[in-house]
Amino acid sequence: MEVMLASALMAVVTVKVHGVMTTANCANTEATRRIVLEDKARRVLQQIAVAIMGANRETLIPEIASPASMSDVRYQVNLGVENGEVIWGDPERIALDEPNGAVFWSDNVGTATERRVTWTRIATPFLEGELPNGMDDNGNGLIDEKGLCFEVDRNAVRIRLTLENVADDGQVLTETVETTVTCRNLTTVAE
Amino acid sequence: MTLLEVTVAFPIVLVSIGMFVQMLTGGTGMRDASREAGAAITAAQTAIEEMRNERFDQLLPLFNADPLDDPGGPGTAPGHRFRVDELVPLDAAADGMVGEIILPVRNAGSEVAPDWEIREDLVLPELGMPRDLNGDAVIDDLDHSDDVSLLPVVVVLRWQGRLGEQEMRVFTVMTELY
Amino acid sequence: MKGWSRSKDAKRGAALVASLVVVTIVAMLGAGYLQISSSLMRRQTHAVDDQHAFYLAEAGLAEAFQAVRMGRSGQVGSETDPARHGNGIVWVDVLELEDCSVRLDATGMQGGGRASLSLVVEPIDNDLGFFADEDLVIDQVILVDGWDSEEGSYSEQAGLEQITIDPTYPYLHVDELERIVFYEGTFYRYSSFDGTVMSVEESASLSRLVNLPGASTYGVELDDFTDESWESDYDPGAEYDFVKAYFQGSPGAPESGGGDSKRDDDDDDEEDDDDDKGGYGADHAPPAPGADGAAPEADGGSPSDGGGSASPQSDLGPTTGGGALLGSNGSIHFNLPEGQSAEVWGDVRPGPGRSVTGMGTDVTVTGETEPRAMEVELPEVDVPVVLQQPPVRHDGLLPMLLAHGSYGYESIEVAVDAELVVRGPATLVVGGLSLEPGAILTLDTRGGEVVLYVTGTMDLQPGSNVETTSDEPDKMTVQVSSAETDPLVPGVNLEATSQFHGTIYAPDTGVRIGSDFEIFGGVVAKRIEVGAGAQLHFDSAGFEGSALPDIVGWRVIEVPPVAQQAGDPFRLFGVEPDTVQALSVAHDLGAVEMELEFVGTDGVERSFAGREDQFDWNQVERVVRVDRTPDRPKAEPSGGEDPVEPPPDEPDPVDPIDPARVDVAMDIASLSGVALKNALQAKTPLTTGDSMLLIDSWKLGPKEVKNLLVASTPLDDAPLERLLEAGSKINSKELEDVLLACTPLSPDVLALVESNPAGILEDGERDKVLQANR
Repeated sequence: MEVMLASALMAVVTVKVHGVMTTANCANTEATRRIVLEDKARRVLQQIAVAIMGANRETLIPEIASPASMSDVRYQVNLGVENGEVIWGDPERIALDEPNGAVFWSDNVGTATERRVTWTRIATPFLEGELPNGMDDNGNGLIDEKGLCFEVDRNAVRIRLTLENVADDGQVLTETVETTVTCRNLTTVAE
Repeated sequence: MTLLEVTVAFPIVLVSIGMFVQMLTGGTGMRDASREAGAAITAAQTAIEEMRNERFDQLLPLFNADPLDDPGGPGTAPGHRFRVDELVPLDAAADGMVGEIILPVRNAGSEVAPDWEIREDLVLPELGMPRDLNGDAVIDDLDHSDDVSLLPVVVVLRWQGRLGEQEMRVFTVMTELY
Repeated sequence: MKGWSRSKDAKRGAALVASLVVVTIVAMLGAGYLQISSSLMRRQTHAVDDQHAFYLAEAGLAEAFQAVRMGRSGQVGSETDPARHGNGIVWVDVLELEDCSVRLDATGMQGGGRASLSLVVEPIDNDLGFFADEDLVIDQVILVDGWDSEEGSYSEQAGLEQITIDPTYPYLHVDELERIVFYEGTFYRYSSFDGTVMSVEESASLSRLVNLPGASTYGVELDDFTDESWESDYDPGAEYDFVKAYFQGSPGAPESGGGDSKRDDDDDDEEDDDDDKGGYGADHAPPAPGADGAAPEADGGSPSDGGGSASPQSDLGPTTGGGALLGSNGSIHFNLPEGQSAEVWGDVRPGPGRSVTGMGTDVTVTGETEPRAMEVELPEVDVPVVLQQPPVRHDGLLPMLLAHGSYGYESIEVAVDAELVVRGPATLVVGGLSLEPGAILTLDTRGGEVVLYVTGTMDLQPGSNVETTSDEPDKMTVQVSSAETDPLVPGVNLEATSQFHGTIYAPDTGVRIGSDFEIFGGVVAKRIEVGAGAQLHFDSAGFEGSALPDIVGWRVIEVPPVAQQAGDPFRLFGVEPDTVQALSVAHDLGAVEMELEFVGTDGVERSFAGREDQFDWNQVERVVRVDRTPDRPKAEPSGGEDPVEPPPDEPDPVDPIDPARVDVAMDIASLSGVALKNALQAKTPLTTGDSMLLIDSWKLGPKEVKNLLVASTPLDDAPLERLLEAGSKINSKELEDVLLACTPLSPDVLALVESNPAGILEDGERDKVLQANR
């Protein structure tokens, strides 16, 4: 009788322990996934931010302000100074490859030697809360903006990025980050 | 297996689970705190970069506490406080703002008729004050709103975090570059 | 029964064993979670610290930029003696490049964050004054002096006493901009008082504007009333409607007469006989030309004190008696016709190896004439991009108003009697600007700075008027970007009537300054031509035209080796935060030779010459004049800046090798085995680039590679992706260890773990990595 009682108690405890652990594990897994996603989003955002800070404002294209935005910027960066002249690099590009959800950097744009580095492969086609309907669905002042979008205001560029992570169980996590940076190189391109 | 054993084992299991849950909670709290810090530093970056996007001689009227001197008309400038959507403001923040831009300024007027001055003789150690701000190497007691050429800036963010009240301070210095 | 009993014994303690198993599992899970959390924390904290460090480095650059602007070297702290700002440390290294531009490399460190930024600037000599790139020829009567607008108005510093004006006086008029309109024929500087009572309408064509700041008391440069009848009626003890006190050196002494020297050509003026009296009259004879001792500011250094103290007298009008700066990259020739004189109350500085010629008795130069040490480079004008509107010819009755903002026109012509008002803050970009006779250009800088960019020619014809509403020259800047095609036709023709407070910068074209265009500020141009009787007053405080160093380029650079070590910077440097020098006082003043004239806290004017670190700034009440010569380390002749860094996370950052990482590259190229392992171990944590070099080298064994990479965590995605995609001399187990050390992995890396493209990870290790990341 005592053994049975003890065994029953142990069984109950074991089941409860398992329940607690499973619940905690699930909660923790989701929290971890979310923070990893956010960490990734902020890292990509900073990579883009630093690239734009170093860009020559004169070469930054497109020149576009809200409510329009672009998911693609081209620019030239300062590679150094020689004999008093800035050496500007070949045009570089940061863009969203919509079909693949990839945010990539590339140089030698449009040439056979174009190099491409993918910074993330989990960007969304449209920014969080936005639908392709010609309206500003998420109330950020932009219409139909993409999952990576750039908005130019004088020497500053506002960068917005949405990443999405789909778990094994199909649960979708979305993270949107944004920041503003100003171009530090406001000189014209050397001939 | 006896009841006695179970009676002994039971608290051990409970204590261990308690510790586990505590670790989990602590870990989650730590992660939330770092998430909040990430949001805070991004907001600070945005504030500083938006300041950089303005003419240097307009920084004081645009980012001081006086809405009456805003260059585009009263109340049109960003002001010295800003909201951060991802962060919960402190209860003490009546205006619901998380961020604050601190400049070496002093209100030489009154609350009703403010007169914000940029002063070199203010004692604000976190801004490196007192110090020369107009490039003449002399620290005086004059208003340098018109000839300031170097502006120490601290962006302070205070929010109600998962682990209690949190604060972040981002320090930089701006100068008249163009 | 015995078996049962044995069996029962065997099961005794099972609950405890089970509980221990549960405790162990729970402890392991807890430890795992803690590891993940702390790893996440570390990554996030590192990212946050990096941004703190970035803005500290920006603070360092701002501080160094300001230092270069002041004439200091730009070195702020050093890697052996850094400065503290906020919660981190910062220092700026300076290097003078072959072309005399200056490279400032700032490093910021806070917590585990590191950032290094580089800014290349071209320091501009702030004290250009009136400066011509080509030879400067003075062949007309001219007066050049200087004052400091921060210390008060020119009038005050020229010793002119203030007058009180009653705005209700019928022949003075306060207009809508709170300016007083003086009527030329009735009452104006250097004009005669003809005694004729004129109506406002009658005198309108003779009117000129003088700025007034609302109040009725104002220091106008009203110094000469030459009408004899007025003199005879003047009672020094009485208060007149419009005059209370009167000009410098002889308050209340209208009988001193007054020369009309500025308008020597007014032969029909009944007061021309003043010339015979010698300017202000016999009581105010000018100093002997070239006789240093005759002038109160014989060293040419500073303007005289304001407040009505005695100022030197001049044949050519009131003067501060100092502060002038007339310069050139070429020679400076005085070639005056017989009987005419030139006065420069200050320095005349020709270009390197050049000289000042023609210094006869008709030329007064009270300051130095030594050539400059360096040729002055005049940077191009950077014209802002502003939408250009079609050409405008304004001939309407109402003023054309451009208020607050940026405007662009292909050209603007202001017709006879029409007015153009530009209200600051405003930026105006015009292809050409011309004022016809009678036209008025009002530059209203009370609300903010006005910057006028001219990409073609600027023609302010005789009889037109230019008014600046502020007497602060730094509020008004004219920048001309065009290059002249005909040396005989200067691109900037300033024949208007004006008391222009501002600066003019025209590096590629000539500037002609007419006799009625009195400038308070400065002019820097390719060539300067000066009309007879011109008056040039250099503002030593507000010379905006080229006062700011020109920014050549900004970029992120590799963090220097000393900052690559992980950990709290104060601990790394072995210092207590409170003992580290503040950023604002960390300038390298030992590298600056300084000549200073100042008013001490005791009110006594003094001077200092020597290294700036030997000077105590606490004794200074205000600076009268300062001239700094910085000594900066020079770049190697092969020169230039370190070329080219790879873009962020470039696919192959090891090709070409960044010079800043050359030591790691050299280690890998030259060492092997234990020596290489030890060398790299000493450099941990390795940067992303170094880690990539290590992975690609295939020179160390799997365990060594693993140990070095684990010691360098948290790693960026790039090296992990390289390991998973391209492989290395590393095995499944070691790769698992590296990946676990970097857990939680980013979604991109996890995707590669799952696909395992290089096939290094075996199933067991791969599952463990995936499990740890779920």
